[in-house]
Amino acid sequence: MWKCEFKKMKMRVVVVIIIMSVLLTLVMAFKDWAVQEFSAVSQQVPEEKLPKFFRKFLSSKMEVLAQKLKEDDFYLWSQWFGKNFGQFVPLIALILAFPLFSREYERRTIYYLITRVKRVKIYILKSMTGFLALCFILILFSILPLFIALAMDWKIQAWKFIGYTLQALIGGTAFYSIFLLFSVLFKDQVKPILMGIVVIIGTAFLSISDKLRLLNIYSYIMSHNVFQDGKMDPIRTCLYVGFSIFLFLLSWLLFERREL
Amino acid sequence: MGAVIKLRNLRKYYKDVKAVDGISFETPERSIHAILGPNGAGKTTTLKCILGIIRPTDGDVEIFGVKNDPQRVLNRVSFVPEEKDLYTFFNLMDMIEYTKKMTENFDPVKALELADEFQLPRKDKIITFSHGMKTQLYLALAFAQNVELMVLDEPTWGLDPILRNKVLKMMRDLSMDRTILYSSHILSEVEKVSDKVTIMVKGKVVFDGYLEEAKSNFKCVIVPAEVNIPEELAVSISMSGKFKMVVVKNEDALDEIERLAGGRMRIEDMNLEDIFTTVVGGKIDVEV
Repeated sequence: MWKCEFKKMKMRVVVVIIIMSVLLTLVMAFKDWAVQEFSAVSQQVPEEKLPKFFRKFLSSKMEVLAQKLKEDDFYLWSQWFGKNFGQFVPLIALILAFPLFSREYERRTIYYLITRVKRVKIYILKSMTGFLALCFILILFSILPLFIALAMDWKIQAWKFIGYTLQALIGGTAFYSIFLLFSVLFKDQVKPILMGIVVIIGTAFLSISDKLRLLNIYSYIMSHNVFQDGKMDPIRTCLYVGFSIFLFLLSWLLFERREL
Repeated sequence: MGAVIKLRNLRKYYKDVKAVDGISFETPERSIHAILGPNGAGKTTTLKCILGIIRPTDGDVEIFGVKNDPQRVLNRVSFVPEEKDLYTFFNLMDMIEYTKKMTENFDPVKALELADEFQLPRKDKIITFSHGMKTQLYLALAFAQNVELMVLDEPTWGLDPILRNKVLKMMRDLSMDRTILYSSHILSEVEKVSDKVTIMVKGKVVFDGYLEEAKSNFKCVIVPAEVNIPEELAVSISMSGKFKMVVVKNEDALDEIERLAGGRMRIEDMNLEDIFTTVVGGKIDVEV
């Protein structure tokens, strides 16, 4: 049963793995070039001339940043967890979650399932298949750069990867639980995607305000605190775990009562 | 014969729309029970309520003695929905394999035999199947389940007459040890295979009874136009030139009309189509 469910999402998982592999290769292979280019830009363009909003996103002065980028540890965190991978986590969660139920509703194959298997079993099967696929992808692309970096003899603090991985998993799960709810709620595939995009964009905007920091799952996934202090954020970790469990249960209650 | 399904005062309302409005009937064990009705009569809604796909607004659904909890008897029931949609990225063999994993009491060998009998291609993806082919595959999967009750929503819709007869024969054979509840609007096929018929119109049951019983009870009496027939005696009265066509549902009414007409009358048997037209068009609640 699980195998069949995985088969249904095989294509999506393969596409995500290919895209992420290409990104990871680019990030790791073009380190020297990226550092060189950034240094050149920071020397040519004075920071004062940069637009205000852009300066706000830079945590250090540009020259300092250019210097720090030369450090393997900082480069890998900022360019992979803080940028490429970090930004893709919600998208991966959306790609895996949105069709789980909505596709079955839209293609009316839900009748095939629902008259053969108990609703509770369908829910567990579908939500857990997506969740396991998400965990697999997130763990893979959290750990893989560590091994590649070690193989390339980069100087990195390997233990921090536990924190990066856990925060990516917990943050990714929080996004996944939101998108799972949309998938249970909507009878077509378009609405869960649109709503998911709204949530992703909305969450990104929350980073502008410090007051809404707790709601900004994005910044949590990017694990700045892990890189900076070597610690996970306990409050947000508990909050997102609780939030995810709540949404998993809410989605189940809605699916159990869903009229099809 | 005991009843496998018992509906008591079942209602399903969508805001102001009364899709099913207080219906009651029973499906006898090892019989073929057809639910007939025009589009929008509430046939599919009734079947969905029975299987728990949708929740009734009110009333009771009892299957195998289990009240209002169809999830508990899922392994004893097979279902063919109105929309015969399956996983389009599977081929026939994948679909049988998948069904084997998803369904209790499923016989994959039998499913394959049935699919071969329908001459379905084994390796083509289901996305390439026509509506009729998808229906045949769905039926093969449902017929290959070793269950006590089969619920089929428009099982022959979209099939050519030869295939339709083949499916009806299969249903007849299966009813030897199973109960079949199915919906249809093709009167001729219902007449061919069904033991019991329930006719629904606008969410209500307007006729519920055994087919043979209905045929022997409903008679069309032709009398001269001048004979005055009280409305309460007839299910329907219509004029045809110099004659009145009076549909009656019992012997007493027949005797009374014979008396009123002074013997100037002719009695004709009615087929299911005539009965259906009368009870649907006449809007009179009839129980046999």
